[in-house]
Amino acid sequence: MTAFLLRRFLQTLLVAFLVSVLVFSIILLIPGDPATAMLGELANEEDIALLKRKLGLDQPLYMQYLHWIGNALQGDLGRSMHTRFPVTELIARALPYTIQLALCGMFLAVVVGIPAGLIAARRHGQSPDMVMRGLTTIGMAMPNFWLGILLILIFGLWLDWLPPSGIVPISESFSGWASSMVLPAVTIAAGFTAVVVRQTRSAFLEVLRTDYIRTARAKGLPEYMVITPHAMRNVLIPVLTVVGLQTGRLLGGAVVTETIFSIPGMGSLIVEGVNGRDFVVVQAGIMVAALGVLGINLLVDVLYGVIDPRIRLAGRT
Amino acid sequence: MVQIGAALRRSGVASAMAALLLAAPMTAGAVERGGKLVATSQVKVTSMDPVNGNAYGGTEGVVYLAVYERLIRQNEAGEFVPELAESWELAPDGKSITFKLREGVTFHDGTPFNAEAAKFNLDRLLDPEDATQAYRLYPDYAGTDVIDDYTIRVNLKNPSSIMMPGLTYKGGLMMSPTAYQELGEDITRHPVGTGPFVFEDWVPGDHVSLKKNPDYWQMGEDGEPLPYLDEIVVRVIAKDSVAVVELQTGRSQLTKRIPAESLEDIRADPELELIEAPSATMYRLYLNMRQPPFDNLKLRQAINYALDRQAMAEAILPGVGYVQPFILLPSEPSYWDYTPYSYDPEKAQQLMNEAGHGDGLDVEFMMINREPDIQIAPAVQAFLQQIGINTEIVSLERLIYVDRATSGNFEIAMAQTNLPLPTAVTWLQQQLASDGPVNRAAWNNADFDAAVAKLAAEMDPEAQEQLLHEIQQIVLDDAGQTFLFAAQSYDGASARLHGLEYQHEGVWRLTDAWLAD
Repeated sequence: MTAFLLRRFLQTLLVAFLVSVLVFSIILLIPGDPATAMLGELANEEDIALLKRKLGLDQPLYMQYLHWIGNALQGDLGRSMHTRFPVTELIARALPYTIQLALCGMFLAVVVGIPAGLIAARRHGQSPDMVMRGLTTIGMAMPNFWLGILLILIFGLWLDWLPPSGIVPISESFSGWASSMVLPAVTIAAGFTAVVVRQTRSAFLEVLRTDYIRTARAKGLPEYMVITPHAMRNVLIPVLTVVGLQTGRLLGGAVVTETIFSIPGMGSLIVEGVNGRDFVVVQAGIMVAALGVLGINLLVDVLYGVIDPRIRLAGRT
Repeated sequence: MVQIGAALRRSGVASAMAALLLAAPMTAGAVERGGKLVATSQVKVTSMDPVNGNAYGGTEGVVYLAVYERLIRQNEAGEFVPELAESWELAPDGKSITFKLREGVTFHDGTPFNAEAAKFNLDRLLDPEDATQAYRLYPDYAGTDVIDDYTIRVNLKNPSSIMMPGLTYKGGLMMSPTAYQELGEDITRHPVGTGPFVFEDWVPGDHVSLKKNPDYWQMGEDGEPLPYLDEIVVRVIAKDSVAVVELQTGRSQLTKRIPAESLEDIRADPELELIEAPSATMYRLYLNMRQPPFDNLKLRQAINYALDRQAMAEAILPGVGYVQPFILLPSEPSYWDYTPYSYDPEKAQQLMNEAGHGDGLDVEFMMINREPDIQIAPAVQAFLQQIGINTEIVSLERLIYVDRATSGNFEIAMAQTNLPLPTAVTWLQQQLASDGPVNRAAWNNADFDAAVAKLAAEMDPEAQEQLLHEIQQIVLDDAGQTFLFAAQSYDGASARLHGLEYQHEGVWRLTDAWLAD
């Protein structure tokens, strides 16, 4: 297990480095630079040159990169080109919101998705299954931004039950935080839940056809015993895989969801960074997001072993 | 609905700066104190250092005018009135202005406001490296002399019609010199001024919160120190439809730029006021004159005759779009309805023939991928098609567009401008003078250059108006720039809000604002 973790950790570091080089190159390859962005539509060549000098952007690209990575390795991620906020501070403010949003979304997807999938599978071909299939198709097809606006109109404006936008820090008021988190979490969870329902349903259907389940039933075990300890473990493996794979997509969804609900999270931070070619912010932001995705996948790999001992044994040989 | 009368009075070139008091419609009575005002805007704050921010007309200006103050400002009638200066006098040769400063004012960090502090702030404008986003707006400024503790002399390179209005704009805002020295580069995120509100917190892209300054020098109507409000939160909400919901549910009390589709809802809501702001956005075209085909005047004129501006304004921006020929708002005293162009496809076709393009022309039409540009471009395309000009619309991300516009690598490009301008002269110098830094279309007209130079040094309001008219005629006749139409800006406010005041670029001044219970 230790060797496995160590190997994965080294892989993660390598990927992180590649991501940083890639992000830096991409940001520099697209036209426009922070100086032009800061000057806006009144930018002119003279002022762009002036501002580049001021920001240290007149140095050769590799120098800029080496300078940045050198500081980053010492824990100094630099300052935003635009607002001059230290990037660590920006991330420290933004990251909790995105983590909360992703966790709430994931929680909803799992808590709603797995039971719904089980029900659909148990009532295979009957009306609950049909309804679920309809709902999941809608859930997957509905764009985040549209669902978000719809929820704002219904629950924010017409019913006036929940705040239409913004987020209350959890440290300020838990109930305020919870009510401001409901709509964004539902928005981000919709597509995700649909995937979990479908995955659970098909995995469960498959497992129910296996011999060991037939044996369990033949032994006269009550149905709840057949499902929970017996079938569940094997159902969870593919579901877990999907959850792991969807994390990256969830972070992508966070960008749209955060914009609609005016949540100052990582998505908003990175998008604004890209718009302003603020590569210091984008670098750090993407890096954190990439590490997050790598971390979740690592966790998923470890969980495989917990759920299915066969995977752990295979790892050892 | 709040109606703005012809409130902009003559103030020479400064006329372009609107400073309108909106207290009138909301019934006058005893002011009420306390409360938190939540205001929303779509534009994020770029810097707390006024001379390094680039979004004054968005959220930034609102924060600046709450935290910082200027020597002078412009009132409802467009006249210059004291703020941190008590009085001023223009030298007979027009080459300096002497200001007597208000005594007993301190910055939020306790630093006294005096002649040294004022000189420190104004002299930043001499250093492009320091005041990167503002130095160009003060081309005539030559430095400040301290006469005594509370008297300064602002020196000018030549008589200037730009300097006084300029002092009411971002370069005239006063920050604490102590804070500037102590905070270093953090000054861009921690404003320290003398204004009615003290900076509390800024979460970039999300909100700025401000608290009442308990030691503010100015008195309110009730004989107690201003401001009336305890707290201001300026939130950035990217989606205008969401901002409207926040206003409708009472979670915000003031919202910038109500989208056209929500105007009726706001107008009909008894708890809200729809404010016809003294500002607008002008849509226009650059026809690149660096090379053929647009170096040909007849072709530029053909395009101007080919466009049905009225139809476009009404169809694309119903309820807010209207036609104005030039950069001056109809409410401004120097406004003139002169335009040589009406919608005349036949004349346009005839000019096409004369220009030697009778059998048509293919050009590229570059624009920024944003609203309402993405709706305007196809309309322009359709009108040009009628006279045989085939345009290929290239819709670009903003910075890619700016990159190409800066290097002059385009044929037709669309642009927006927020009005009223801080100073019309500065805009004209930058956008249209042959050596202008943002002369995107590379227009070159000696008569225009001479007229603008004259206007910049002209102090007499009547003569200024004459010159502005002369300039309008030159620009339009020579099709130096092609103006499409404008969109009136509407803001929304809670009916409980009183004492809101507008400054140039449609920025709110909240010093006298109060919320009724």
